[in-house]
Amino acid sequence: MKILIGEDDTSSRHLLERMTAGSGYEVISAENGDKCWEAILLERPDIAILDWIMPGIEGVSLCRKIRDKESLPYIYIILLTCKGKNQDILTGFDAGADDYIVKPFDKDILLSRVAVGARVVGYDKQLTEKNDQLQRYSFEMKELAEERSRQLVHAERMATVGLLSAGIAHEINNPTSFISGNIQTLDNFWKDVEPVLRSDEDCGQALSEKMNFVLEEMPKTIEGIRLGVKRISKIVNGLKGFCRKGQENVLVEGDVNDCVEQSLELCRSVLKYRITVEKKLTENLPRIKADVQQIEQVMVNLFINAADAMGDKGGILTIETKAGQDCVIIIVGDNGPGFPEDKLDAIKKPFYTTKPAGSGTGLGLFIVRGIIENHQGQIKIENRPGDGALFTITLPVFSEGEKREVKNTNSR
Amino acid sequence: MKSKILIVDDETEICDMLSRHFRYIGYDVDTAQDGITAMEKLTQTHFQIVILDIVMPGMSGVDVLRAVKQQYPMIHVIMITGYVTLENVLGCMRHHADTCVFKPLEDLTELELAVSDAVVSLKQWQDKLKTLRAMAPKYTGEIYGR
Repeated sequence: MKILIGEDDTSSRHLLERMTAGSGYEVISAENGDKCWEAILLERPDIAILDWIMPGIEGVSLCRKIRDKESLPYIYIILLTCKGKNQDILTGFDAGADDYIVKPFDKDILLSRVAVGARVVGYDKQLTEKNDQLQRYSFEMKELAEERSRQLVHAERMATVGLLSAGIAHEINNPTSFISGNIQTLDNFWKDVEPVLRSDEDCGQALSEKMNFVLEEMPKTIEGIRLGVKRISKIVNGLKGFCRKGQENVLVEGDVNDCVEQSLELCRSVLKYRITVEKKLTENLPRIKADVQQIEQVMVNLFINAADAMGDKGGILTIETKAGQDCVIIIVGDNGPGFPEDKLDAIKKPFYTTKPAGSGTGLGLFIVRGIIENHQGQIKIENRPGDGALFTITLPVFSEGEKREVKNTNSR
Repeated sequence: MKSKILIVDDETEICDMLSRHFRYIGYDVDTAQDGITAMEKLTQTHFQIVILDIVMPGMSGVDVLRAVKQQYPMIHVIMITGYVTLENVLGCMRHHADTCVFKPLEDLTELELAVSDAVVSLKQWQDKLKTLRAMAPKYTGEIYGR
């Protein structure tokens, strides 16, 4: 605590200096009002003991000046006075003084009153600090709210894209139908044309070679088109299933390996060039009772995240499925940078994302956990020894005669 | 005698594709792109089978199905649809479609089978009528039906 002593009488001033310094305060002094004001601006004392009558600015005026200056932190002002009349006392308080002491004063009483002042200033400092903290917090919250709002807008947009995709998927069915149908007709045509072509020995050498080529290649050509159509259908079906509104919560007996394959199909474009997929899928796994669409959503999320983590240089995505104790275990790993150890907790919170604004919503892992938990399963997120991240999901096996309710994630 | 099929779908390419396919395997085929044209064609020619798309502008597939079953109860109607909703399929069942085949029509054999099943069923009725005629000649005269 810093005390300013404003007293023009030298011996009184020295006395006050000794008294207060002796009690452990930091003391500065001034012999007139102007010097007091300078000291206040420069030294920023916490407590000021001011003589009522001083050359330069008087005690009372100085009081008012201090209270008027808004930029000053609170100074506890004790006025020293020989004036004891009520009116004077009122004037002093009116001007903003916190206390007054009538001369001659008692040392102990003075020090007690200074201690009160120190306490009051202490309270004020605490209040100011708390206020600052609150302001900082409120600023952070405001920024957070803006960030959330941006993410929500993005999520909304993505949801619309999902909706559009469902419509597009329907539309693709028609051209797929007539490509496929025509191919079957072509196949029928060819079955009848082929024997005729084979038996015709009458065309010239060059044409004959060409015809042999056609006879050789036609079945494969037809098959190629057929496979293409099949792949289109598979992708479109996967997309349609994925985009279906999740309110139905259809529980079926699901095969985890099918989910893996379907999800990989959906992610094909993301994984294609840079990512090598290593699958270790145990055959004949027991079935789980699940909303298959949601489980696929979980897997798609993990695969895409892994691909993003591994970035431009790519890497290896490992997917393993196996049976556990009354459960099925799915392990997804990548060899990206993994998670910073201190963030392993934070990643489970909603809106956590390391991706730049506009790419990804930060809702992924949060929703993934929600889905797994709603299926009475568990998910463990950890760093793999060596490199990369590892996600271990366990889902309970569907046992006959056991009714299990799966809560609707959307009703949170 | 070849059986006659009417194919009704608002997508021309699908009509063409199905027409080509069924003509090649031995049926007579005509097409229509909407319900009203379909009903007109039915008044002019005697079809045994109608292959009908569910979602069409104007008269919907289910509307056409109802109209056909009302006016020509002996015609077999096979629905095809890309919009697989429960509502659609129930509508088909309720109004006595033979069956519903989902698009994309990756395997036309399902459609072929439905058509040939319809032909078999019609032939069974024709045989019954023939037998009836043979059994009771004095009741011959006007035998209703076409």
